[in-house]
Order: sequence, then structure tokens, then C-alpha cells
Amino acid sequence: MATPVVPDLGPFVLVQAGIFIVTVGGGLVFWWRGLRKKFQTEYTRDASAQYFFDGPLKIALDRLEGAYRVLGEMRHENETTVVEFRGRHEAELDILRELRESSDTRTNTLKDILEQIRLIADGSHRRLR
Amino acid sequence: MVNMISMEIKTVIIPLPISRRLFEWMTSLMMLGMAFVIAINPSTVKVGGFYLLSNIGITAPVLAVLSTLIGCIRIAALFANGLWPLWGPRFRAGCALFAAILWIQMFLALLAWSKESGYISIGIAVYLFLALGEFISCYRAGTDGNASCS
Repeated sequence: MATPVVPDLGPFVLVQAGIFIVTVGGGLVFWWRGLRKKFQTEYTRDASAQYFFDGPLKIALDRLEGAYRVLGEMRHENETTVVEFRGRHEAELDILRELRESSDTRTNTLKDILEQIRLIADGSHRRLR
Repeated sequence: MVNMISMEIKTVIIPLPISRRLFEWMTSLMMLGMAFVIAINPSTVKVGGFYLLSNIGITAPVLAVLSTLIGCIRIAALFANGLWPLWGPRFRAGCALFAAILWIQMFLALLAWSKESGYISIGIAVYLFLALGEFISCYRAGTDGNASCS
């Protein structure tokens, strides 16, 4: 491959040198801007600070507070109802248990009577005496 | 779900510390590759569109040696970036500055060559935006130095 003829480089060398200086300056400026960049610090709130709201924001906050209160009341009511129902349920269970026990007692009594009748019918009642 | 999978794939293929400074890693490797190509074929600078670089002293051997040095220093600085909080970002900024100078000069050489040859080289756009990326790398190295020193 033939070597291209080098043109008159007078002005081009100056362009190259000028661009070289501009590039160095630009790079240093970018680096310096990076070094000077301010990082956002963590936001800290003073504990004694108080905030006051007015206008539509206050109305919205009041409504939210009301809704929150109603929700709290509903939750409290639910909890009370649950406790009441639990007590009733336990009472019902007690009644059922008593009924089952009394039923068992009656069944046993009936079984005894039937056994006695069977023994009398067999005549073994007499023999046993 | 798709985002999570793509993120996992990205993390597996490109580790996070590398992906954050991927441009610098790639240009470092590019410089080493360029030095290798010049070493086995110096006429690529002497004869091609970059012969005007010799006006400012960037001949083929100089370009190969400087590219190797800068590529190696940059890779070392990138590799030990977190462990080298003061000098790592400074070296990275210096190497990015050198690379910006090199890409701009190559851009100029190709621009002049395009005027002579009668066609516009595609490399003009490539080297211009590479130089822009290097300026951003300078800024990034500055912010890293700022964050590590503050």
C-alpha cells in the first residue's frame, strides 16, 4: 500500500495542539466538577420541631383522622363481640357436656333395669337368691 | 419476575462492581487490544488514516507503549478501586484524560484523512463519542474520589 502524500501540516498541527490543550482542560474541568459534587446528606429532623397545617391539607388530615378513629372504634367493637361470643360458645359447650353426662347416666340406669328384667325372666333371679 | 430474572442474569454474567464501570473496563481492554494490533502490524498507524498522529509525536511504537501502559494502569486502578480510595480514582481520571486526548486526536486525524480521501470515515463518530465517554469517566472518577475521601 502506497504511503499517502503528507499535506502541508502547518495549520493542522496548530489545530491538533489547540485541541490537545482544550481536551486536557476539559478533562480536568470534568474531574474537578466530579470532585466538587455535593452529595445529598441524610435528612435529620429536629425532635422539637412542630408542624402546623392549614387549608385543604387540614381538612384532608381531619377527615383522615376521623376515618382512623372510626376504624379504631370498629376494631374495638369487633374485639368485644368476639370475647362475648367466645363466652357464649363456652357456656353452650358446658350445657352440651352436662346433657351428655345425664344422658349417659340414664342409659346406664335403663341398662341395669333391663338386666334385672332379663334375670327375672330367666328365673336366675330366684336361683341367685 | 422478568426484571428479577434479567437482573440475576446480568449479575451472573457481569459482576456488579464491573458493570458500574463497564465503559472504563472496555476501553482499557480496547487499548490493550489496540497495542497488540499495532505491535504485530505497525503500518496500521503509519499508513492508514492515523498517520497524521505523528505530527504530535504519536508514532506507532509510542502509541503501542502508551496504550499498554495506560490500559494496564487503568485495569489495576479499576480492579483495586475500593481498596485504593485515594489514588485509584486519581489514576482512573488520569487514564480517562489520556484516553480522551488520544480519541480526540484520532478523531482529528480521521477528519483530516476524510478530507483528503474524499469519503468520510465511520471512525469519526466512533472516536468522538468515545472521547465524550472518557470525559464522563473523568467526572465519575472525580465523584468516586470525592465520595471515598469525604
